[in-house]
Amino acid sequence: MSDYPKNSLNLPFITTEKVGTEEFILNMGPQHPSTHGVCRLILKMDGEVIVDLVPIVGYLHRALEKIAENRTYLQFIPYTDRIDYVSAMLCNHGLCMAVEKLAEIEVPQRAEYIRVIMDELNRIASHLVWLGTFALDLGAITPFLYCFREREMILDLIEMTCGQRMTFNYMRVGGVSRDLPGEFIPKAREFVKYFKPRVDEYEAILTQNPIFLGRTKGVGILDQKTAIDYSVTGPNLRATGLKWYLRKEEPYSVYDKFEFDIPTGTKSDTWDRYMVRIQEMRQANRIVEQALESIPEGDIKAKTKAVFKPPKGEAYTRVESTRGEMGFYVVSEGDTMPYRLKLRTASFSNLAVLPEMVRGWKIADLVVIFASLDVIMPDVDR
Amino acid sequence: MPVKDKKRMTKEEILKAFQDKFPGKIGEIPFVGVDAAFKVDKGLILEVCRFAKETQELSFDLLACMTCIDYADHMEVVYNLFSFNQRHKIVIKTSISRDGELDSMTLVWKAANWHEREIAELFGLTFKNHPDPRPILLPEDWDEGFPMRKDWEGKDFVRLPKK
Amino acid sequence: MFELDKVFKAVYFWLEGLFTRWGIPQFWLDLLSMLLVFVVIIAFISVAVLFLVWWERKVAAHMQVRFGPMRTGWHGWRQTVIDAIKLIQKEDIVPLKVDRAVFVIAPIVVFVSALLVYVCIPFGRGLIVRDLNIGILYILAITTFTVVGLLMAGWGSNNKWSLLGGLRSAAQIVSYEVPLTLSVLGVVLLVGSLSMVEIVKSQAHFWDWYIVRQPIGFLVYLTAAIAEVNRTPFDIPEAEQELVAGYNTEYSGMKFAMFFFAEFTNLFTISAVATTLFLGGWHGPWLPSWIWFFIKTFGIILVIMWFKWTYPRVRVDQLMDFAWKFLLPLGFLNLMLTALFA
Repeated sequence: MSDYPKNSLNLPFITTEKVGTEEFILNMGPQHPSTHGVCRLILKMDGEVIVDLVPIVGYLHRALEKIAENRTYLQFIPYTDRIDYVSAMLCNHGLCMAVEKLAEIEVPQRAEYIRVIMDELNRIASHLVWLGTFALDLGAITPFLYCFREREMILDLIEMTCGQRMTFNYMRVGGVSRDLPGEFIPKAREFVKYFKPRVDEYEAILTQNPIFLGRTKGVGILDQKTAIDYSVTGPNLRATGLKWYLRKEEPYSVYDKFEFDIPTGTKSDTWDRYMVRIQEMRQANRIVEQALESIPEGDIKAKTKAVFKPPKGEAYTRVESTRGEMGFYVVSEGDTMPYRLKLRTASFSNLAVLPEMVRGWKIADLVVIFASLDVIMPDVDR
Repeated sequence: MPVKDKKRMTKEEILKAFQDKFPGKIGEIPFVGVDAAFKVDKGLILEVCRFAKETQELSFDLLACMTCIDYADHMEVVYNLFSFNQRHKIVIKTSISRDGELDSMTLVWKAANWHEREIAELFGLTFKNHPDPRPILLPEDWDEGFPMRKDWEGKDFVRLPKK
Repeated sequence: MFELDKVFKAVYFWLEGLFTRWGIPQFWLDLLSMLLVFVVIIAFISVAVLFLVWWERKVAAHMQVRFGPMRTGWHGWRQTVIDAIKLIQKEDIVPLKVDRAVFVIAPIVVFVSALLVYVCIPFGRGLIVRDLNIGILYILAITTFTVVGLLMAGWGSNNKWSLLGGLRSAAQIVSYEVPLTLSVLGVVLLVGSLSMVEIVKSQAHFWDWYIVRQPIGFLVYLTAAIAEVNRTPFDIPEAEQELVAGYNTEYSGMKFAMFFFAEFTNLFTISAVATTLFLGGWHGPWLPSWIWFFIKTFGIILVIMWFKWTYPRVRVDQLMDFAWKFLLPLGFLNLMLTALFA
């Protein structure tokens, strides 16, 4: 009040200058209920509308690539769990695949089937987490609890096999570390049957709800050309209409033996990204069902030397992780430890495209768009 | 959109396409897991990448990965490229001296923006014409050198003994 | 049947006898009786809010396939009491740079405006503090005071997030006042009086209840009332996921408890008004009137809680669109139909 110009009677009153608006900077700090993980977003706002956005990452940087240069391949597998802890099996799988390709090791069939089952179960679990937090960001609190109820069942299955619920350390170069216990397959079959109508249940709450449609349809459009330019991969890219599934185009492991569809979107808005992931859960369930039917007997790990030294060379392989393409670039000098191991994570590129998607939308939409990208911060920072 | 029935280009065809445009500058290298891999001079890298992206038959529109490897006397910057149309992938490498300077690829693929920021702060390279050269993963007040270099000794960095 | 109004009348006559025997003027009797009524109302609201908080947690939990509080007492009934004690004994943090007077008074304004409404709520036959002949108008006027309190909270916190929350809530409440008033007007047209007791008296039979005669009005009222008290799907001012806690961000301890208390008091208020206007007030066979009133009120509260835990949240501009472009014309339509055919 003291800054306002006073009139001759010294009464403070609103200045007669033109009342205008100006843009202000808002900090959606590292701690915020709806940035998924520790991510700082600096927003330039004009009222409620976002003019620009700058993401600041690096709060979770643990220098995994530097650590990799000082650990053997076996010692580094637990570290891969921590890159993307929600879908840790896929990260394990990626590293093992890269090293196997370099050393030309053939993985036994049973191990491949077990890897596929674990991968797809993990994919369902990761999408359940995503769905729960996505609905939570929109204000619908109940689907979160339903999703976690199913996730408990998946984690029980995995715990039965490898003893861990989140950071599995399950796969090894040449196969997997432990065989499936006796009661795994019947329980898994039960889960697959139980899960099929669950996805319909989640859809019943959300998909046709007019409030949900109003918040997500047409919001946060990402066109295909921008997406490819920014190296966006995974469900975000499929929602733009590109029918690209790493598991079908370059089938690794035994994916060529299974039958599944590729869900794509048409308009590449938030609703499409949501639908793509819902359908992916159904397809993952299908794959697990087929894998459980046809899993063969056999070894679970190829024989490798005790002191494992892959030959000198470089290899790059990629896995279809839940968030996109996860690439492992291994440079080996013939030693037990890699000379350079680069982790190409999906969320790193997915997050880079966020500023393009939110310009002109409001804060409430920012929360929804950010949630629909399914970015997880340890994946970004490594 | 992907052309399913067209035969994928073989390694020789891809290399030939590059060698026709840039004769004598392409040196092939072995690489597991990709269709072709080669090395170019750092002066030519921007044009090679542009050519790779814009040619119809090559059309490498996805920069799948961009890394840097520190050898003791020089560094190598590696570009992993992939094409959605033609479904082939290649690797392009350039050699650069430590503390050297390289053209920024943000003009060709916007994805290179964040990758180059990471390489710049972790390895110490500079990228010309980069639109936003800020540190990305390390804190803003980091002044202890370039961590990913092989000769970096941090205060608390302990190397495990080699077995 | 256990008629509560007879109890209150008996106490009043006993006090009157006492006061005339001791020769104290009538004025003190009036003052004392007002004070007693005030204490009764506050006690009732406290108990009701404590119950409602517990009930909300249980309803939410059972909808989410879990149990809710189970350990503190039978099915956790003591949980809210313990939470209230905890909040009371917390340190009263006032951040350094806030506008101190505004910051401290805001929760009081919100709380008092929530309480003042109870002068006119008919809890049963003869159980109303004052049957003002402008009853429903008084209620609508007082509930608007909350806006002032929320704006003060948002501004006084010296925090951009709180300011955004305060502005949003002010816009929301003011916008939804209009359809709310229109839906109430439909009922008032049929009754011919603004007095709450008159409105209840005119719904003596089940087919007279205004939910049957004014279905559109009921739906408009319910939607607008949920928006008035900031509950999901209209709880943008306190949307945790977007604004941390909106206007609540800087409040802790007893001040926060006051906001919380006021929210649940408001919830009870709008359900009570819905019961009075549309569901026949205290009318019902066999049971005492006030028990029917509570059954109906808690029924509406259950429905409102059900909405909270099922639906996602609407966005601010969609909220405004909904109020001005949909509810308002619907309210006018209702009024027109009522005027033409009734």
